[in-house]
Amino acid sequence: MTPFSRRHFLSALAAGSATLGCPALVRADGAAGRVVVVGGGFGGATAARYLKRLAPHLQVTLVEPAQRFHTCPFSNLYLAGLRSWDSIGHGYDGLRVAGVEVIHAMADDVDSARRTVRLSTGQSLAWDRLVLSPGVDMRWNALEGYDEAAATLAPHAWKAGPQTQLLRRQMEAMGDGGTFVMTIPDNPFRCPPGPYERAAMVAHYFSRHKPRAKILLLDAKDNFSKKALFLQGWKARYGDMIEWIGLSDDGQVTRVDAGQREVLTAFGQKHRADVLNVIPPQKAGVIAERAGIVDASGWVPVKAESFESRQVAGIYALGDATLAAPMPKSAFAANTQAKVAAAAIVAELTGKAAPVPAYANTCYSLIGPGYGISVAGVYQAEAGRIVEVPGSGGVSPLDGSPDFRAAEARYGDSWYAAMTADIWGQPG
Amino acid sequence: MAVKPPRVWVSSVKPARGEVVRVRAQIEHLMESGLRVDPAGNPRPRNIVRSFEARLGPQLIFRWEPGIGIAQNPYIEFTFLARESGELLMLWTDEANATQEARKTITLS
Repeated sequence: MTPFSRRHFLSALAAGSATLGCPALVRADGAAGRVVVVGGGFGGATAARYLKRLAPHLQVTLVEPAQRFHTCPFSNLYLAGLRSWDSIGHGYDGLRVAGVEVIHAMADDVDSARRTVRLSTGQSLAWDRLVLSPGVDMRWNALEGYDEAAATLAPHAWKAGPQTQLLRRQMEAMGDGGTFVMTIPDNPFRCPPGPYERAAMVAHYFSRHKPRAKILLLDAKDNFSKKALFLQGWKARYGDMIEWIGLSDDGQVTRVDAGQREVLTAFGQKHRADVLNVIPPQKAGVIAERAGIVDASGWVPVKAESFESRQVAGIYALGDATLAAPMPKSAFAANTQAKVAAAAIVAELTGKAAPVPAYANTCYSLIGPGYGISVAGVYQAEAGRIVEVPGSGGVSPLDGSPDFRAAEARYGDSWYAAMTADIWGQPG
Repeated sequence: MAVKPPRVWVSSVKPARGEVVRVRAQIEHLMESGLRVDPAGNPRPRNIVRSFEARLGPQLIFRWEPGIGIAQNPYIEFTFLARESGELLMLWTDEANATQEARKTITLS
């Protein structure tokens, strides 16, 4: 990011909060009512926290099934053995202290006419505004042979949880000289650089414990996020261990046999795996469908200024579930979208003008210890669309110095610490 | 929308001398037959891939002239005997003289 864009971003943020008004004013106006937030990940937990911070009199309820939320960001480092499972898990006590009511349940259905949401506990919550941050669900059988049962044999590990731990156990059980095969879907999907960071993290583990292992990536596209940087980093750290096959070279997988750990490509080539990691095509989390905010693409169209649904008034959607391109489906993107949506909701409930949004994203990826790379972007709403601010953002330089790579690895660690403290930490 | 590049699979890019090399190739092309009409009832002008050629270096090893019976995104599979190393060049040309090409380096092992 250039100094210019950083200044621009900060000034845009400042403008945003000026329009929004300080919390004291909001309190004077008595922003009353109830906001229910579904999903306690990067989008939802941020929204709940910032709603309460901006309008302390607002009743804010967060619905999330997990007692501890394990993050997809840094779950690849867990696979590598560089992070413990506990270190990527976060509880909700910090949000409770901040005044957010947290209910551990699934949201089963939304009635947008009566403005209620029904929980798996049978309880029904009324809302004045609803925020859905449901993440992604897998499109089972979109890839022939890959359904929920297949995922217990060939894990996707694309939601941090038991799937991630299963994949790690399979890596540990694999013999030296085995082949790890990963299938990668076409865009859009959660975390565009994620599969390629995972390849590096799996290679890190293999290079220490099974140096004769191979990693084969079968990709349904020819280009991917930070491609040149990944290809360079893989080579530098792991030699020929990682082989990537793109669409043009028959990398698209069309059928999965999870029992045999075999995949078939479009041109009929069979690949056998010792560990098979299938990252299937995805869609918005199912509660978004129930709420009627999903379009034919399977994702949620939103207003660029506020992340309110384009289809149902009063419902906001955040993060990976939304159609927010050019913003990627990333944790950082969800976090800034949540802050904008929280400000927009509070402005609306207090009869104030909508704030001017500013969005930002950075995705750090780790190639190995002391070797990090990144991509960054700054975005704004323009004529109902999200656009990248001209001249902002960018990617790490190709052929960066070892010091540069080491610094970016540290920035990645700091990003994770700062982000998780902002969202799940104890209020300071 | 940008047209995706041709998709090619070769059984081996490092074949032994005399080995049969199998090639599978596909491009994205509408293969407009000239028999269809648009919503206003006017015929859609015919434009199909008129020629596919594969060469190993200067040597023509395979040629195909698809007709209008071939569906869109034409797929072709052929084999050749590996006698020498060289660049395998595949060239598709349609009736508007638009071309697409793909290359693979074949090295005898």
